[in-house]
Amino acid sequence: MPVDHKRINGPEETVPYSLFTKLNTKSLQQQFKEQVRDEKRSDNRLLLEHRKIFIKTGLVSQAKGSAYIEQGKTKVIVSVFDPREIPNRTDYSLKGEIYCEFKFATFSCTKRRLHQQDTEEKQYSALMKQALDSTVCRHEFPNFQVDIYAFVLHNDGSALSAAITAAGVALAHAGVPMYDLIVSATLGIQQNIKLLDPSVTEQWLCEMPVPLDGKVGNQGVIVMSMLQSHEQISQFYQVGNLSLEDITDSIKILENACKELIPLIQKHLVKHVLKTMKNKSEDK
Amino acid sequence: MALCEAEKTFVLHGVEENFRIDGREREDYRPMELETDIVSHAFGSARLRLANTDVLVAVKIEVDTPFPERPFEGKLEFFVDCSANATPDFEGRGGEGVAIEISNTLSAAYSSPNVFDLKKLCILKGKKCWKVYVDILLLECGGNLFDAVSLAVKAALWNTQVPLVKQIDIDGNNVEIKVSEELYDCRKLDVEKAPILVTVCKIGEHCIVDPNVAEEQCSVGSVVVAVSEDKFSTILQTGTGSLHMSTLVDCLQLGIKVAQRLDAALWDTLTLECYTCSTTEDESDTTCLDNPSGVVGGVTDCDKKYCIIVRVDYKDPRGKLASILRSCVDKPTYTNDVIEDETHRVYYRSCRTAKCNGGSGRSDSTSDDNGSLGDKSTIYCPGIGDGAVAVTVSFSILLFAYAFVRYVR
Repeated sequence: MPVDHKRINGPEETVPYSLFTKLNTKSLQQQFKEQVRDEKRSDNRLLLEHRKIFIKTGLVSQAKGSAYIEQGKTKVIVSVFDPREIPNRTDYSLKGEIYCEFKFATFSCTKRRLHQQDTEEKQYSALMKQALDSTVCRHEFPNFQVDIYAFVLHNDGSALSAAITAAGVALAHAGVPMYDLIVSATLGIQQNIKLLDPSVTEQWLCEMPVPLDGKVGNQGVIVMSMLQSHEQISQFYQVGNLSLEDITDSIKILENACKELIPLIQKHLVKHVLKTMKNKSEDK
Repeated sequence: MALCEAEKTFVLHGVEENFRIDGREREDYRPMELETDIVSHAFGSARLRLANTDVLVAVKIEVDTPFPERPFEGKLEFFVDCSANATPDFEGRGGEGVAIEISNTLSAAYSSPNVFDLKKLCILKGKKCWKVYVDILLLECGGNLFDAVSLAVKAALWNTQVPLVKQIDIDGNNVEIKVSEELYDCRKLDVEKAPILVTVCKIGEHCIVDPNVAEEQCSVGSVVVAVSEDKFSTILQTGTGSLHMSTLVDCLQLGIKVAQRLDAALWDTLTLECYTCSTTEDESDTTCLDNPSGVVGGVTDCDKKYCIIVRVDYKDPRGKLASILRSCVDKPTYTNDVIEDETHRVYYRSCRTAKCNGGSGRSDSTSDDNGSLGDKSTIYCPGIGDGAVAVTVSFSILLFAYAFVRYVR
């Protein structure tokens, strides 16, 4: 998105009022206990349970392919545009390029986001590109570039993995040749508690060490994207402080989590194809 | 740099035979050269040369206001500058992608409080904190940027001197801080747990570390791991390929092993091993004088620049020992000098190589101070088999004793 310098971004020095509310005075331990109690989470999910997922394709009429995903309250729109020649490039590239842009809507988080991409969004764009680069058959469109835009309407955690899953669906909808369906999942880890598909509060609490029963220990967040039928990990990103055993366990959990998502997406794509065929036959 | 298929096959076969194109084994690093304290305007700096990769890191510190949501924390910011000198690919905005990738990975790696405690950079809750700018300049690209940058950053942060705050005046909403005027009255940052990044590259069936430019091109995918002690602080997949789960785990295992070895090698280079002991004429035990290596706990890994000897002799009887002190300091009172008064003769000796303060102190033999721009040293990270040297940090009380002597005098 071109930067609009004429737009007034509001005063720089504003802070969300929520910082001054009573909620904020609770200790981290209290906040964590509120989120996870007796193997149950605040929304009654089990620790390793996905939130409800809703997927719809073809929302954006201008784009070649598009997908909308709701993962709990997290809402992301991804649109894929027709291949075009790679801009500002003189030499011929044998493989096509993928261009990803990940953006949070200004109103999507508790703190207002700016219109310009910040470093977090740039990082997420790079991770999305990393995930999709090895998914798309890039040799099928040499010297061309496919643009993928992910726009987060509401961030309630796991926004990146929702965007990557949706991007896979949008690419399939656009008819871009792919090796496999790509799905992605996020895992939050706080000591021995692992939370699949964390909400924004859970994710925030997993990004820092929270003392539980007087101890601090390993914590972190992992985002993993997989090509399921090839058993390939196309993108892996971890932050925090985790030991090798934690990560090996997490990879297994995330693999199963990704497996669970596949039938949902397959079913949706089949539905979409049947609908298109029906529409075509009606047109005749 | 473009490789043809034949060249790629050659590299691949080399990796399979565990004999890479430059003669290294799969888990070997190329030789490195590290200099610290070379930018005089910066609070800390380091330059690392890893074969053809050259990185200069300078640390600047400024006073800032903490983020409202984290009133107890200071700030740490990384900025990578890819100059077009490094490689023609960086011309124009060509280096932007690499720069963002490196700086984001570094901030992610330093983000955990177990790795680097930002709370120590806080001056006054919610009002004032130190903001540490880590500026990374890539002078030359010879592959393996992540590893080189992370080593240089750790060395530069280790070298950083944070000014001591002497006084804070609060007048309503106005906060004024007064910084100590003594030049050497500084605090060092705690970087012992700072992460080391290791790029593990998969070529063919095997994983290698420290790929050069040619090897980077042959790689199907690589994993960058940031390791702090025995934990991962960040893992990131780079390159265009995807990996199988078991390969990923193999890469992580290799990464953590190499990172720990690299960290130990770096720490060994940064710290200076000095003899630390003392004795006086009243003590019967003269091991410190005659054979300092025989003193139990008499060797310390100092984070100072000089090993020193201060020896006090009587003039009458001539040459009778009054006391001897072996220690380490940042700035010796006298580099190499003999000071006399009516009754005593004091020998001051200082040097900058490991365990160089083992002499009698009378002769100038300890002095091999090259007195150049900074302390330059070469670190090598050997292949598997050579276990890393265990680092023991045991600060002796003698340091304080020495300081006391200095001030009393």
